[in-house]
Amino acid sequence: MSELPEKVLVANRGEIAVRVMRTLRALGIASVAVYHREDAAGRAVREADEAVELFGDTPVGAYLDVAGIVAACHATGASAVHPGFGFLSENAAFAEALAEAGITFIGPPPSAMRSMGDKIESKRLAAAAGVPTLPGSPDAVADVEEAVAIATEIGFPVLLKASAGGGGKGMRIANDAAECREAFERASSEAAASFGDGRVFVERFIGRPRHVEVQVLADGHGTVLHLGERECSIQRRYQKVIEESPSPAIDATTREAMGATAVALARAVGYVSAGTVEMILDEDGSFYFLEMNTRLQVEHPVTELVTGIDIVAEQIRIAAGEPLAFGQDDVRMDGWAIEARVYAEDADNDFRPAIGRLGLVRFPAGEGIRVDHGVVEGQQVSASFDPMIAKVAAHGATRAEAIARLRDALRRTVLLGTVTNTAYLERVLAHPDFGAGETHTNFLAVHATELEPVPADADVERCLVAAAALASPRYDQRLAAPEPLASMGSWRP
Amino acid sequence: MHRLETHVDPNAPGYRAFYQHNKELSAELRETLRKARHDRPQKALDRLAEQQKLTVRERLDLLLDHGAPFLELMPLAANRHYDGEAPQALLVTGIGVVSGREVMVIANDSSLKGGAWYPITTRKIVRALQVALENRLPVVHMLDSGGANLHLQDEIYSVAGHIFQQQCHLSAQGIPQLAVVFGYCTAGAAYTPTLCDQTIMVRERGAIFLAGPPLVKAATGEENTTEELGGADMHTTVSGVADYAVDSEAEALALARDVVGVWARRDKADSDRRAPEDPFHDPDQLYGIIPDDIKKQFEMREVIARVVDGSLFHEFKPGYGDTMVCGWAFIWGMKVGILGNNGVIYSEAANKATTFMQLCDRDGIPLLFLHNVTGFMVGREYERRGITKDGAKMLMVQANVTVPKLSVLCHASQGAGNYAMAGRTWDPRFVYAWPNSRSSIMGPEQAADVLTQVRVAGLKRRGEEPSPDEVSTIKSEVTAYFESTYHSYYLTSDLRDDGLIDPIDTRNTLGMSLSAVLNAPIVRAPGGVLRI
Amino acid sequence: MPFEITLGDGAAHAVDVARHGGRATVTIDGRDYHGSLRPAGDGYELTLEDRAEPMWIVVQGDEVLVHAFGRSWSLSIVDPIERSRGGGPSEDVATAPMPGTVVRVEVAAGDAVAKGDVLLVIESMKMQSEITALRDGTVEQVFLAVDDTFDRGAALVALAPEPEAVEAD
Repeated sequence: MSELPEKVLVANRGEIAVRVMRTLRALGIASVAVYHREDAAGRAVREADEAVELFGDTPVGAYLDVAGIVAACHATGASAVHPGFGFLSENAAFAEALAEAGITFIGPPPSAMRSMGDKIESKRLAAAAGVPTLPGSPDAVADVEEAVAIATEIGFPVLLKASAGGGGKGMRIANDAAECREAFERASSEAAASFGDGRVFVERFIGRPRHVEVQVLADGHGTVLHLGERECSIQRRYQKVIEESPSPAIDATTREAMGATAVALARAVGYVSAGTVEMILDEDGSFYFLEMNTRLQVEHPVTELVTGIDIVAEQIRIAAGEPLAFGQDDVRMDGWAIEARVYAEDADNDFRPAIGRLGLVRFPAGEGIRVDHGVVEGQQVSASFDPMIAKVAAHGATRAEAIARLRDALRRTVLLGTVTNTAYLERVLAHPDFGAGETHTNFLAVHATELEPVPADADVERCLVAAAALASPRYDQRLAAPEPLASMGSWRP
Repeated sequence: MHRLETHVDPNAPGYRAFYQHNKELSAELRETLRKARHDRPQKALDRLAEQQKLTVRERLDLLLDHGAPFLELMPLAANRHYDGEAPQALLVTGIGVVSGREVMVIANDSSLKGGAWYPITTRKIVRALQVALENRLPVVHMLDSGGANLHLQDEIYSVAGHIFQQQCHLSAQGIPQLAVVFGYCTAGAAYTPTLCDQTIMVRERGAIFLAGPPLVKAATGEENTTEELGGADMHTTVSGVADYAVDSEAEALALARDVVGVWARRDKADSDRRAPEDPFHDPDQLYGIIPDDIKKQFEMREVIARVVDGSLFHEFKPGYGDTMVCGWAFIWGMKVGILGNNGVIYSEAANKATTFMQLCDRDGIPLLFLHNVTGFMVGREYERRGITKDGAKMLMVQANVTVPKLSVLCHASQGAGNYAMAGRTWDPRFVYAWPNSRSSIMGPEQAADVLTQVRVAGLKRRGEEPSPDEVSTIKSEVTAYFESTYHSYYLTSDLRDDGLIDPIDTRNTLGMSLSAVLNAPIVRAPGGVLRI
Repeated sequence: MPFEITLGDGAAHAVDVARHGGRATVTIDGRDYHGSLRPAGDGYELTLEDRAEPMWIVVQGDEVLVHAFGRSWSLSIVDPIERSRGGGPSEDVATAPMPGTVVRVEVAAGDAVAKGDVLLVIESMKMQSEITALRDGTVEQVFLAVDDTFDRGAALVALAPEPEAVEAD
């Protein structure tokens, strides 16, 4: 029996909540938003058909209130929940609590979340499914000696990584045994302090790696397919900044291979719904499994732009028990799409987070432009949540066209009242190495000096100063001369 | 209204000769103005710099709104007096824009003679304040003067009192005044800042006192420094004679702009307006239209066509009294009633003008008189038909209209013709003159003839004959006297007009003048219009 | 005084505006530029001499935020008179409010004084006034003696600077 739900609760906030609701609207499904008081005037609450307030010790905490969300479903009659990404989207206990309450979780089975949520376990499963994995310790190393031994075996340089780590914490590079010893101590203690789990494992370190991931989609009837790859190499401190689809480094053969391995892994863990298999691509074209994210990803829009498929709609259909209406052969990648993440941060001053009131908001529109955002003009940029304000994406027939369109779109993205990184993003896209597709995960660090801002030239500065003077009410104290004197200019006989 | 036709042929030899002549006059005017305004001996400029004083032009630049016009009035005052010691009579005055407000600026030029007052200086201040009073223009005084030139005290003292009285009247009329004291205000002149609504003083330079330290010591033995006796700090914190004390001239002018910016803005008089439009016919051709000889005539409509908006003109009674052109037009978007001469004034012309002025008065339309007249028609037939009665009617109406009058001396303006056309002594709000213009009781040759005849008659009564030499001496003396005293540069030197203007600047000058006159309400007089 | 406008961390410019009808003359560091700022589309268009640029502008008090030339900028406007007024009198050195003569000296170097204590008495314009301590402290130096004359702003008495707060253990 496959019937779409009548009402879905979106257990998230900001741009992803708005994006999910857009698809719900298109499918004729009513939407329920949940919100913390700080988001009461936000766009998600405005666009939802109904909204329920959540409470928590912290604003983030409110969105993690499982009981509160379940209660909201019952109160509104929502029969399904879309978790977005982050928050409870990869929380198996949440999915189970919903199931117990008779509410559909739009996402993968809890078992898949659990197995892919553990770095070591996921690596083991991947290897078993025939997914190439990065040479390294099969398990967390017991001690520094084992670390050195394994490192020597797989060959330096190696990366020591915390098992429970993420976002770059608990990671250290070692070029030789001595460095390996030191790196082990550091990584381990950092991980213990940050995650309460000091387990470290060792793997081959790749010098100019590309981060390439494959989007998979699986229904509950045994069909698993992939929607092509995304390259997300442009990262700052392990946070993705610019993503694109397809990857400039992948040919059709590699795509097929990567797709096949991703599908194999998804099948092996009994995956259902949308998920992403993240891999590392070496310069010689070999790829290795990194991890699998059992949820919708932030950068899914580039896949949607290139394949024409609404992934959220597919998730909803799959969760409703429908089989996928198309096969792998029906999936086409058409043209090129690139997305840039707009953050409230001062890229010219160490990327310090910025706050402020968004006095003026204008997003670009036009051929091939897609903007996902959750902001409302006049709202405060909050320090409570992730500082991402919007995702600006552009699609083009070629990569060059996509780059040009995205650069233009960023130049036309007006967010006055706080500092954003749009100019920085534009400089990255303008960099010749990016244009040549020479992307890798150290790109931003390596090119940091070239990406520094260029000061305004005298002409530009003069225009800005004049504009400020003409706009400011401070100068309005000088009233205009009466006509006709006003039209005579500086005439003197 | 219709666009005036033109019959001017720029290729005609007459045109070309006139053009060259008038361009030379224009160049001469600009050069004379430049010298009067800017030429000062280097040691004079050095002395100002030592005293840390700005020149009057630099002060104006800091006071006035950039990008706004400034109409300097009487810029060639004293150019033919005092052996040229006092260019511009050491005073700059004019209508400008400060913080968006039209104001009259009166500023001493202390680069020479310490900015002392000459007799013409005093009269220039009185005239400027009269313009301010009649046209309700706020006044900014920029004071920096050593006081009266005592060698000429008689002609100064007989006039100066008017200045302070006018200040009192301005105040009673609700017209604000600001004084910025850059130098000394001594004796009587101390009353100017004190009679102003607000006064700014520059420390270590500005001083207000009835008598300075040397005079006080001579009078009572008391010793004082200038600052102690009348400086900025004393007057702004102890006596209350002044209101603001600043450390520099630049600060004083910035503060002055602020003060003017806070003054209330009043609405202008209601008047017919339309969007301004440049004249259709080229104003540059004025140089080729105005003759190179005061006795030669020209078509006044050609002048009108190059001054008014779009060259559009509605002529009143075009078929009657053809030596007077009357009609309505717009200048810089403001409607005016124009009267212009095309020859000697006959009865019909006078009567047409009289009727026309009544119409404009009824409708509150300012009048513009364009002079090129030697007088009324003479001769038995005309006397018998009562030419002076018709002239009198014209004078009676003109004197008593309640609308503002403006005059431009375009060429000749003589005898009673000048009176009928609202010359200086008939109190137009503004009167300007072109450099080629000439104004006197009668022309030099005519005068020379008359005086020669008188002399000859006198001699004959004694039974004597004048020698040819004597006759030619009389003729040349009289001619010389008339030529020097009817010359535009002499008349402007003696303040018989509000400034010499280049013909090409006529439209803008009148535009600013009309804007100024509209600051005062136009009160319509009751009574019907008589078809004279 | 024209206001000062600063772009980001750049140098301050002296800027003044005179408006005429829909246009204006903007004077930047002494040079005049003619232009206008007019609504255009959903933002503005700035014309300055021969340049025309689309802009979006938000004014927040004395900050002006502009999006132009493809990015956002922040400018601040400062009134120099307001800024100089902000500096209060130094509490360490008592200065003369106007020129005058010292009539009486009440303290000597080393004396402890409380806020409001008379330090010396001066005479200006035939009027005497008391110069008092603006805070508690110790007199470091008295610069003048009885019958000395001074100018406005001259230093009269200095208090020893406050010692740095000691770090808590």
